[in-house]
Amino acid sequence: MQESFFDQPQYKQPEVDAEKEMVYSVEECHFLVNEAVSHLGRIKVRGEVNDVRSVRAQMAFFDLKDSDGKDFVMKCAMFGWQFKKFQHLIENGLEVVVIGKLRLYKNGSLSIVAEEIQPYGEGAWQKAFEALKKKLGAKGYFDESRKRAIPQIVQRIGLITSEEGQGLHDFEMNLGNYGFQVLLYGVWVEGDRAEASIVKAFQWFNKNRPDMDVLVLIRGGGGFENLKVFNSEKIAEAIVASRVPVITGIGHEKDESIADYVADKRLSTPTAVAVFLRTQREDLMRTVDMLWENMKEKVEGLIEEQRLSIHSHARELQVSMERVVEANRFSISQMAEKLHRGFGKVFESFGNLRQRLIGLRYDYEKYVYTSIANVEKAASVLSSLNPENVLQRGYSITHNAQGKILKSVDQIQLNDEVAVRLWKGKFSSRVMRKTL
Amino acid sequence: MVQQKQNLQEALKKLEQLVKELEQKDVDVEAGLAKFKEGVGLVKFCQGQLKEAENEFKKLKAELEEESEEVAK
Repeated sequence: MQESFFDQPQYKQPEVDAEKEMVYSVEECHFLVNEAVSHLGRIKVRGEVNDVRSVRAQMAFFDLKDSDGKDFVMKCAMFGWQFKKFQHLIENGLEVVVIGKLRLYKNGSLSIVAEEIQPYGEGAWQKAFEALKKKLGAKGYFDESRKRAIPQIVQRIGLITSEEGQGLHDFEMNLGNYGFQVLLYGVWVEGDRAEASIVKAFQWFNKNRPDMDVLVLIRGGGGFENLKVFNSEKIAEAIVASRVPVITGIGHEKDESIADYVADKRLSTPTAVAVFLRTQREDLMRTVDMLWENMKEKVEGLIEEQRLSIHSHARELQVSMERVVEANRFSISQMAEKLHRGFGKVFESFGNLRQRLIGLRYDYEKYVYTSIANVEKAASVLSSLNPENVLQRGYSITHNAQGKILKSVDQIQLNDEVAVRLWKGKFSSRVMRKTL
Repeated sequence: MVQQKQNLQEALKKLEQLVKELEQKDVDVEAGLAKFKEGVGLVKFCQGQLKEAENEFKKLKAELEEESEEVAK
């Protein structure tokens, strides 16, 4: 609060007129008014923005028209970094709340020097939403790359919602009975305490229970009006800063809030979030069952494989042994065969020899008999030729005196003496006659 | 369990080796018989090991499925 103009040492007191009343100069009047309004301090005024005049994009002057239809206007001005921050709301037609201090300017016009502008009407809210979306988008809050994956195995859930709301009920009903540990941090989800309580919830979990697997921000039902709470920059920052992944289920099917954009996962309602978590768990259990069945199958398969392998080796062993025996047996029989054949040849030769010998004997016998026969034949011939036999037949042998056997009459003369041999006896005789 | 498996593997390998030797040409019957005897011993060993492994597997399986039944209750 500035020192009163009138209390300054160099100031001289205003004039007093004939009626004993103070007569101020215009300057003094200004200071009077400014002092009076400065007691109001910072005020909030709701109205419709009108007649915006921006100067070199560094400041703006605009009118604030009474939005209740009354015919009242306040002048407003905004400068510097405040202007830059809220300039998206300084647009004709938007219903806003201007927060600032009143000031009487030298030219007599009274203005609200705005320090902050809050959206009030839907149009303004939409503008604010878009501006914030742009700002946070530029910061990379919505980038998929910064978002964390929801862990596959969720056991501890940090729940941020109103304790009396429908959202909590829907969530609990749909989460199922799988032994999730749910830690509830009650917050306001509407009204002006909502933003701060939600931010506090995120901070509390991150500080005291960072072992949570996931933080869930839900709110059941409500129209666009109630969604406003979640278009907060502070909440967005709390979500981005959270080291635990965040899921939102803010119960508004079509529209998404800033919190939804920033969340690591967004589902439309508390029910949907519960169903998501429950389904994840059920899938996991099913996967475990499947893996268990697979593993059993694999091991049973392995055992069977080994069994078959052993069996096949045993068979091979047996077969090769049989082959060894068979091979040896075959060698032996081959040898026997050869031996047999060898002997056979000997026997054959021997048989041949024997045959020949028999043949030979036969021939020899034949020869002997033939010879005997021949000899007998010769003997009989000889016998037939035996002169004795001839003599026996009546023939006689005649010798001359010299003893020579006579074959021709030429050998004798008449009166020669001859000896005649008969079969039985001999006689001598004289030749009486001779004829040829 | 791992150790058992190793012995089983080694035994099988040895068995394979024996069969190969038996399949050679001109195998002496007596030497062959000795190898065959050794092979039979190995087969018995392998079957024994396998049976043990299978029994343990069945036991573990039963334990686990009993447990999950409990949990389901």
